[in-house]
Amino acid sequence: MNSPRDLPSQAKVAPILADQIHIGAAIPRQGIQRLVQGRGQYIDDLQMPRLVHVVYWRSPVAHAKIIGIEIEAARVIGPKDIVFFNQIIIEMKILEMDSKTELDKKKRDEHSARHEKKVSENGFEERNSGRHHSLAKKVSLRPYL
Amino acid sequence: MNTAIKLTVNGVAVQKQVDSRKHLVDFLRDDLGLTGSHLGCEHGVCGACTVMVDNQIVRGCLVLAAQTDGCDVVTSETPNPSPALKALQAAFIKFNALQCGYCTSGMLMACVELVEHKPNANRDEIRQWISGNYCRCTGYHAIVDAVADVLMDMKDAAK
Repeated sequence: MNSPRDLPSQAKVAPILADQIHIGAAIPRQGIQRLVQGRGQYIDDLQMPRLVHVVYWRSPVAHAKIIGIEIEAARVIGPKDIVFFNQIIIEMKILEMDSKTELDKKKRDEHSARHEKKVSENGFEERNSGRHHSLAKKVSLRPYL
Repeated sequence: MNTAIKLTVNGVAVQKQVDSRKHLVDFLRDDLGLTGSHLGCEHGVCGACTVMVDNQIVRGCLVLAAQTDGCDVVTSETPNPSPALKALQAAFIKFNALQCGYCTSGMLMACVELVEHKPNANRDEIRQWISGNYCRCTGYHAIVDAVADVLMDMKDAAK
């Protein structure tokens, strides 16, 4: 009953913006060119050094803080090293290297952990932005055709 | 068991040994690093893995890499897109026909075949054609707008 059709006087009301440059206008998306060319990078595109398996887990409840994750059951299943980053859990099974000393392995693990952390801070928090390029530089091991 | 295959991917000759059980989309993503084609459902429902094999769209998750021996495979990453693909890419940008872009590669490949084989398709036919490709964020209206615009431009150019 309150539709403009029933209230003819309202039809004369001027629009909020006479120059509708913002309302109803599509704003060009950043990075859209990349996406239509299949060059977007998604979580499952990441190939991290010596990564065998990865699991991403986020809170099922909005704004909830994860205060603990019970991993004992996961440890029994197999992964030797499980690395946590904020609300993301990354399970890394480090491949056994033949004829390598324990010290070398420790150094590699430390290097790997540093690298993963960098990726987590700079990459996973960014979605569909130009910073994907920096992510690609850091972690992409994509063999070029 | 491995199989030796020779094929052309986006215009580049490729010769590889692949596991006989490996799917085409896994081969493209893991062996060639072409991650533009995505894995969604992995059983041929969502269409995110759609690629073109010998000018025909296929589900990358339902075709074995070994089956594409001797074929010409094209994905949305091709550096030399066909006129139809190029026009569709421009139209998708013009109409903002994507948000996250996950479905876009497969959607584009499906639309290329539509544009090339059914140039007189109307909006209902476009919707019917892309019904095998799921988009979970943009919605299909803008995608149909983009495809319809390409078809309209092609008709105008043909006059």
